[in-house]
Amino acid sequence: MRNKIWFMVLVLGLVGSTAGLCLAMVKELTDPIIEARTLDEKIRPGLERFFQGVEPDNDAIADRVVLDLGRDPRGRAQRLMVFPAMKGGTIVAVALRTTAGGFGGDVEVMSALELTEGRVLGVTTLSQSETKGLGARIGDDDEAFIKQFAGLTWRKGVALTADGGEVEAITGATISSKAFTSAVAKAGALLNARLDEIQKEVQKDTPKNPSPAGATP
Amino acid sequence: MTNTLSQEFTKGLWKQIPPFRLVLGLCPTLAVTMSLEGGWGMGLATTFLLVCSNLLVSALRNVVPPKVRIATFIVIIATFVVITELVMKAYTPALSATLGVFIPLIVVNCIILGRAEAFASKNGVLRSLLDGLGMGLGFTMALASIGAVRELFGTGKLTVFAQEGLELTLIPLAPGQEFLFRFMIEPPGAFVMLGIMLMLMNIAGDRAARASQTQGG
Repeated sequence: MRNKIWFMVLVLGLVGSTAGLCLAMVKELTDPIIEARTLDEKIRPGLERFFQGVEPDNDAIADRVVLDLGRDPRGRAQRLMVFPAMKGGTIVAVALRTTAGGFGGDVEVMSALELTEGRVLGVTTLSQSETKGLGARIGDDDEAFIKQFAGLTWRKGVALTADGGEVEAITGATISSKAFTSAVAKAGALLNARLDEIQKEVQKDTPKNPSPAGATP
Repeated sequence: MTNTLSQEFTKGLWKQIPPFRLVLGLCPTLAVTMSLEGGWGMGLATTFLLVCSNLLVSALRNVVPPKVRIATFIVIIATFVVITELVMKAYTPALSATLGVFIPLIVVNCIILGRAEAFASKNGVLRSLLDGLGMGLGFTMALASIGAVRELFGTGKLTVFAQEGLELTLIPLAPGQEFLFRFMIEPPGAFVMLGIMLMLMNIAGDRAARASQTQGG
């Protein structure tokens, strides 16, 4: 029986599906922990740095909103997480989390974009699995490549010099640089297209003018 | 001659210590031993994987058809590797960043597939468990010792567990000095250290063999 083809298919199928099930369970368990760590260790300090100049009067992490962007061609749900920086009830800048396919997997980027002049406040990599010493340099906030982004006008679009933009790629890591840059460009495009939606969501989530008079009897 | 159970465990610690005696698993041995922490982190991750994969492979050895055994082993190993990767990302993010791509690459570490094929698929569950544990701990010792020597002579420090701030400065460096022997923590240093370790192991092995010969004769 062990040499019959159906038995081999059965065994491999069972092993494979059990493996898939286990992985799905472990992912369910670890995802919230990894997400909480990302928020705490990468996003919070990043936002503090990027929003320093605009001096927001809200907590961008507590006020974050998640937009549903439908599904990608592979059927995975697409979401956009937005951190708004507000001043007196209006949004002055936002930070968006976007991903793009890199050399060793997805590159997740947070781009802080300012709304009045349309400039980039700063960008940082949230997660990446690029080649150590080459593409992985996009994960280093002190890297010259990363520092180029602050001050660019995102409304005009952000691109590498090879694609007619202003960003110099890291030598030897064109694919990683391109992935990072396109994630930033995606953030700009999404913000352009969905600013109204973001504003609506943010206003919905934050109670309008929480009146101290009503709270105290 | 069959080994006793305790021999099954201890053979991996000295007689067949993976990188030095079997000369297996050299890729991580060279790649992640820039620090003590990298060494023991990779070692323990590999130990966990060896134990899990040996257990499952030996438990399934009478069910899996011989023709699809390698495919089954790879699925089992890959599943545990992804589980390890996710758990490390969630609970030891700094270590997982240090080891980077070398954690997913454990899938192709020949120690694990080697033990599955050469040992676990022919032996009982208890023996396979002990074999995996011994081989894994031997691998950990080897990597940690190379890592410790390289880090100590490279930077004068020993990193036990960076996430908890466990770092010992054993050789204080002059202000502004970053490295003691920078060569040691660069890739060629790994080859040289491995060569020295292999030489020492061979000298020790020769001595032991000669001693047992004179005793016997």
